[in-house]
Amino acid sequence: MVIDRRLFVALLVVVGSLGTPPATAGTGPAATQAGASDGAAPVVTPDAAALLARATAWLNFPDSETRMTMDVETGTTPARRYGMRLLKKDSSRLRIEFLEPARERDRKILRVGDKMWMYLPDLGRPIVLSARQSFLGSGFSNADLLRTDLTEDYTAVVLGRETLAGRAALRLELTGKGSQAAYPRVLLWLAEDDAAPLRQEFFTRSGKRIKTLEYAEPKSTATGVRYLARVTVTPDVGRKERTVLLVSELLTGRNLPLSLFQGDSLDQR
Amino acid sequence: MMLLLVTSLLHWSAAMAPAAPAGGIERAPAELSTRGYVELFAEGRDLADSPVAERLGPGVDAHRALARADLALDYQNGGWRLFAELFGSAAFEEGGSSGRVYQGWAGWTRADRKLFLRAGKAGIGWGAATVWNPVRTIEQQKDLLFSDTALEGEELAEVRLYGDRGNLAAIHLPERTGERAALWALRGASSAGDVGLALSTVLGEGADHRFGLEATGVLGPVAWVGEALYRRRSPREFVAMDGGRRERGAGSYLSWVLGGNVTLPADVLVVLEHYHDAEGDSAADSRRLRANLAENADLFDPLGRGRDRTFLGVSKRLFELDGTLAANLFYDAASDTRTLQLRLEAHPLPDFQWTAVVLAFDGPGRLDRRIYQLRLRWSF
Repeated sequence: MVIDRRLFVALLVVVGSLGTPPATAGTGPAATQAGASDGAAPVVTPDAAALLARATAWLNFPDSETRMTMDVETGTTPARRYGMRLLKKDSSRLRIEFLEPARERDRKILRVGDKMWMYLPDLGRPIVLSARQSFLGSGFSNADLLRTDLTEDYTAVVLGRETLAGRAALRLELTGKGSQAAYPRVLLWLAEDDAAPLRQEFFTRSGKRIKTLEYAEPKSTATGVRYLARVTVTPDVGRKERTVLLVSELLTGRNLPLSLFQGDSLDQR
Repeated sequence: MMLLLVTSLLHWSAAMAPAAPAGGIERAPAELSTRGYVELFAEGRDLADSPVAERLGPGVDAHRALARADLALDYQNGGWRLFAELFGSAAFEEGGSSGRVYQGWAGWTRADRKLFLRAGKAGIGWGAATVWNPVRTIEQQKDLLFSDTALEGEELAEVRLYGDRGNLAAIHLPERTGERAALWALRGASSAGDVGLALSTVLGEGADHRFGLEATGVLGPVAWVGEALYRRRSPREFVAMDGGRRERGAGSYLSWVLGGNVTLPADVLVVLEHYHDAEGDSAADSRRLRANLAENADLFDPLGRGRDRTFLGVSKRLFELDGTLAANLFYDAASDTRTLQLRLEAHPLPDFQWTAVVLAFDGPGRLDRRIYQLRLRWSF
């Protein structure tokens, strides 16, 4: 009975902590989106941190639901298509639910802070994931899709101006802030007029380029939120496949309940 | 004690009740979704022609071939959900077949998703570690060596309450004739910084008291997991393998597992976990088992039943095959035995999968016992 009382006290401590709302990141995605919306004027004095925040606003949408497909083309086998729904509460809480193919249905991936889990219906519980792991055997890593707030993971400096895909672009060098950044060094090209990301190159610590992401098809939602509907990733090291991510629908202002972003809720729809 | 806990739960639930639904995820008015698979499974065993293998029953036949099928039906209407999973298998040579309802439950989620109720036969799914879960004491463990099928759930009634950063679940498991007294299980999960924590307990009249702790976190590139289970065991009579009745003494045990995973360059995933099972066999127990069962003690539990066991898993994605090549090594310190699993999985078509597995474990010689498995699965 003594132990029972101790356990009860411990459970109460856990329960007490449940109601405390989490702290939000200092650079809120909503704020950066607002910054992006008035950013049509050309950048006169490139401020790397501000540019990075504006670029992030094209990729990171709080309280949003995104429908997307991912095609993995290896060149030797038929392209593999995955259909998924991404739910994002804020830059540190995301949940991906797989809709197709049939063998992946009901599989879910969750990120909370630096922790990631994957729920497999056959296993009946979530298992811990590594951020650097390939996302379903695609050119993306888990971090590429689940850690989209660049301001959270990187510091930036502006390297220069150049033309990319016919657009005036700024080239930024991003350096990982800590061990949680998936890549130690990233080069980012963004459009000089609206800070839309155009291209990213990812490097190892030794300086070898791992992969390249190219962004295309800028679109706007009915409420004026701008996003990039097509992302193509081409790996440089060891593999020849190409992965194309296509956003078919972006819904913002979803007011998603926090209970969706807990490991123990992954067995619920 | 239980009354106090239930009162606390109800009080907390009432305090969390929202003034208005939170909106968020829209629910389909009525939706039936299905998933499942049909597969052919073949297995061959090379057990060095041991005469003892014949005594171990049909599970150690030299070879067998099965057709297996799994069907999950999921009906949702508003906050209501009905879920059923059916599993069946049929042996080609013996002609026998079997079917089971793995899960069958009805659930309800409140509009703000802060309250979830369900009753029926359902999986519980406690535990954070990949291979062994000390805290998973109510339902059976997933056998990693034969992990191709889902697990059968438990009959239960569950209340789950969600807060902003955690949740609390109360589970009641009814008495099962001849096997188990009625049980209450409680589990609270939350996050503290970058560490996820869960505390659990299983209580019941005359039952062993069990208290569990689960923790997950990230340390640099390593995603780590830990579990601990304190078990206070009551004296109990049991039937031994020779048919005689024995008395099992009281005792207190602390079992734990600690490990983690890391992704290396070239998409190689490494998982390392160490499991200390305080109720597992000592080296002397292990020697006695192996002496009594000659060469096939490890067939009872190829992963070992010793107090200290280690798992090292290395897997690599094969992009051209849309598959994975994995090598999993299990080491049981008490019996100084190894089990090695090599597994190759590929998806030549989106819903078609083949898997080849070779299991090798120590018999009279090192890794000289082998089991070969081949599986062809179509998912729908």
